[in-house]
Amino acid sequence: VVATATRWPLIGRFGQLEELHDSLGDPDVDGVLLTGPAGVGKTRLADEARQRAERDGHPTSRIVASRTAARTPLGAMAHLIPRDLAADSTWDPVAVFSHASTALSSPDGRRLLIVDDAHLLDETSLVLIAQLLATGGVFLIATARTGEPVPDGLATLQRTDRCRTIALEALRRADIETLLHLALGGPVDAVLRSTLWDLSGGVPLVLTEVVRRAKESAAIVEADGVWVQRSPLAVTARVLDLFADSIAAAGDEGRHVLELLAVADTLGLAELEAIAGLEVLDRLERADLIVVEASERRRPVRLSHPVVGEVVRAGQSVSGTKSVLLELIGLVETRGSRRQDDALRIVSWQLAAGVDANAELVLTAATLARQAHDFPTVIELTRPVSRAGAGSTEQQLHALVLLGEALGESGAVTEADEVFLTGERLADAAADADQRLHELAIHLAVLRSNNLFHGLLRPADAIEVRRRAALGATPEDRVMLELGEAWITMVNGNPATALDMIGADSDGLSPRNRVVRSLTEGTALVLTGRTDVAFTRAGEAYFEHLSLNDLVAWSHPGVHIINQAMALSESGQLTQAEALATTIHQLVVDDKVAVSRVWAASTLGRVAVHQGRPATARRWFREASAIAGAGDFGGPRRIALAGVAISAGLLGDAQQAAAACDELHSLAGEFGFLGPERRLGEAWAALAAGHPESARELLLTGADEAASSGHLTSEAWLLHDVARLGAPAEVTARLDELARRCDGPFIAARAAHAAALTRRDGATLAAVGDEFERIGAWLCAAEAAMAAADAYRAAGESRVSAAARELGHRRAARCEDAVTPALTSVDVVVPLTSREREIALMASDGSTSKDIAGRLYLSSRTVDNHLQRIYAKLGVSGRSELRAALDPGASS
Amino acid sequence: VTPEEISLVQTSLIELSSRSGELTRTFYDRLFELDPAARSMFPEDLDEQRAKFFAELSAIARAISDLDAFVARGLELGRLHQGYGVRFIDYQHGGAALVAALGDVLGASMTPALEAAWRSAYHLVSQVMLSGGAQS
Repeated sequence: VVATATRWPLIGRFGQLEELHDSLGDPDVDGVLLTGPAGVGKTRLADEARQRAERDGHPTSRIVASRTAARTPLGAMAHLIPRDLAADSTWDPVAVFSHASTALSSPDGRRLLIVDDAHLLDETSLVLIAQLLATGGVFLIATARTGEPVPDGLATLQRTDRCRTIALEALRRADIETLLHLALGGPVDAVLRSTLWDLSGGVPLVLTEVVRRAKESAAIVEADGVWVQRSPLAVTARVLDLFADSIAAAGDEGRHVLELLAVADTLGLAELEAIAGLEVLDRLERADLIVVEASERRRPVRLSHPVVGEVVRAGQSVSGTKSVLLELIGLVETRGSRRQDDALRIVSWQLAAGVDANAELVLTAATLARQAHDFPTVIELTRPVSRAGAGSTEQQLHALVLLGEALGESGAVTEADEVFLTGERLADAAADADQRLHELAIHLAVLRSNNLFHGLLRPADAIEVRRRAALGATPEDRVMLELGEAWITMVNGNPATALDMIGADSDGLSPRNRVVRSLTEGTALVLTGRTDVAFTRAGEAYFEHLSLNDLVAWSHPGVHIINQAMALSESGQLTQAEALATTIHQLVVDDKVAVSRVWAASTLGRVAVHQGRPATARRWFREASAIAGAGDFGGPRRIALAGVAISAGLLGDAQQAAAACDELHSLAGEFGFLGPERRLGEAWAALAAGHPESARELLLTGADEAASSGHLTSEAWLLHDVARLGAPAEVTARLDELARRCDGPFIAARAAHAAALTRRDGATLAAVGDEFERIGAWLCAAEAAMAAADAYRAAGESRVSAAARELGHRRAARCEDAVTPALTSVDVVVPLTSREREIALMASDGSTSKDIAGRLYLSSRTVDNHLQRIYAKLGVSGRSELRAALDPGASS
Repeated sequence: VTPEEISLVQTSLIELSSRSGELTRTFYDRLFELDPAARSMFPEDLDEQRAKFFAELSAIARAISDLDAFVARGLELGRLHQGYGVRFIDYQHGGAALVAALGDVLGASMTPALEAAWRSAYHLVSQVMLSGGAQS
């Protein structure tokens, strides 16, 4: 293996390794200087070159220079110099050179001399090395850290045209990703990969140290064969040491600049120049401690690496930190606020310095942070102002609104309700409420209602809060509160009623109310099968939402895009749905909005199930469930758990499917949104456990629930699965009706599939399979082809049948080991009925007639009668021969 | 390479298996376009080479899920290529030619996500092969 326990593989340096190897073989080159910042891998590369040279038969030697060794001339080279010469205090340079030259020369070609940290080498050693190179018997590979002063002898060497310089830079993102994959021994989840890239800045030493510590502390773990992050990552002392030297070398003025940047993140070049002078900044830049962005007009300056900030902060006293904060506040206040987030920066510095911050400024800053979805900062900023006496009543109420919302968004839903309740009492007590207080009170009611509903799953209380607030509200606010009630109605599981409540169009509504209305409309239209118009409206709503500066009491405008992805998915444009959902997932991962991440991952899981990729689906649903579980988002968690059960069931993992269902049933509260789909999870779990009859019953129950609540797309999915599980005749008529009422090719294909299964019509089944393939629903496409093969076989068309079976196998190969009954086709001349096939498969697994009878609600006698007919059709004499007579199915 | 990327690459290979001739023809066309000198590294008649290329591409991409087997195979392959005189720059040309050829053959189904998946899979494969070459 490339990676060993102690050493990570060399990645991303093969071009340079080749150049070193070529240079060693080039008589016109005497040496190569490897330069680069600390931890970038200079020594490692030199070492790889050395191993390769040794394999090629070159003798090699290695010198490690250090500050200590540099105190004595030739200190670092002592082991290469004959002992008696080195010990002689009156040593003669010529004799030393001649001995060293003899000792190092070799009949096997040039000796490779590695000098590590050559910038620390004493001048005498450098003279000796230059002389050795001149003899032609030695080839030098020297490493030197950028930013350190270069000794004269080294600079001279570097200037000759017989020495090359290779400047090593940080690794690229692709290199870091490959390195992680190989070093951890398996794939790494996208979020963890991105975090490690950010933290390491492409410096391999930082990466290895962070990963080593994270593994030890179980902050990263392998789950289902994928590395994921469980808790925050920390840097180690070794990483801190990496930068300590160069920071120490930066001098007091340089260090002061670093301290300012460690707190401020970025400052303009002109601002820093006024403090420290260009020379100091230049030195810091050459030492790779700071980076000046040339691309932006302001020329922002930042630290080269997050670790530099940690080292600087670690060496700072409390009073030192405070004086830096005060200096920064003064700096930004003097030059006046230019950037929008200056208010946020000043306030956070004031709070960090323990200075009383202006309440109004704090609220402005918190509002900015909220717009950036930075809820932890909102909580930190607003908590002090939310206490009685910290500001005016209006400021306190405003703080409570922001605090409650941020808590709810972060998953602390119970505490959020307490905060809202405090706000409600405060608003009630303010008898002479002015307009601003009134607006805040309405806003608070909306947020509390949403939190009661989404967070605490108390829909009745949520509606009650809205109705109470509507009593004294302006007409516009009353409309908004009513529209919100429609939203609750929909999410509570009644999309059809909700559509009635919001009216036919948004004429006459204010922009804000149009957006609030569209939240209900977009989703409800998808659920009721009107995917085309849902897609268009959600797109319009997204842009309208973005253009609102007003707080809509909704965390992320991305919700409209999720609606769009849902619309594409349910209408059967699976590739586009996946692309859109991937984009929004990336967006919310970057914005770190937990609840939106749950929805985005669930949508990706849903698309993957439709595509026939159950393993991928299971990963997305488990991600969604894990985040929802961590954040107390009970509603979306139900959807994620149902998804885990469906995908685990599709993979034949009965245990995991059952566990997901158990977890789902254990959750408290009400949540009807997509509720009927939990039956899909229960059904696939039942099927995986060997109970097809209960699976079908569960699906039919779910379909009834979906029909009565208006979840038409869910109903189509449930009914189609009944057909796939062997009872197409029961669902054909209703699926036909749904196909007429809903748009998009997906439900139409499902209806056609069920109808063709009922009629055992080979040609139609083949055509339906092609249509599923076009949609991107590969599992359904595979199943339809298999069913076509059976139908053709029954009609005596064995050649066409074989081709259809072959196609079915090819499609099934794309379905990530899905095991569904319809894929397990029976390759016999006389086809079995679906009931016979079910029984044959159970019996071939070793179930007794009594078992089978129990699971199918039949008598043992009936099962035995079926078995006799099966044996006769298959030409076998008993159970033991059954397995061999049945096609092993798509796993081949 | 994330699990999603592995699955994307493997799925696209199934789709490509029926069009391997087209893919490998385009690949070598693209490669010699990028680096005309590379033509001399291959035999006059490319048919056998093309078939071998696709077989190896599918085999190694399928193997990604089993890392130990994948690495062993990649190292060995890298040693062989080192023996043929393949250099670092050739791996870069190979990657560019492969992505271009996939784009030519897959057309609209070469989504940005699929392209990124192929790029990261190629990076993984080529880095392991280069390790194998450097160790020989």
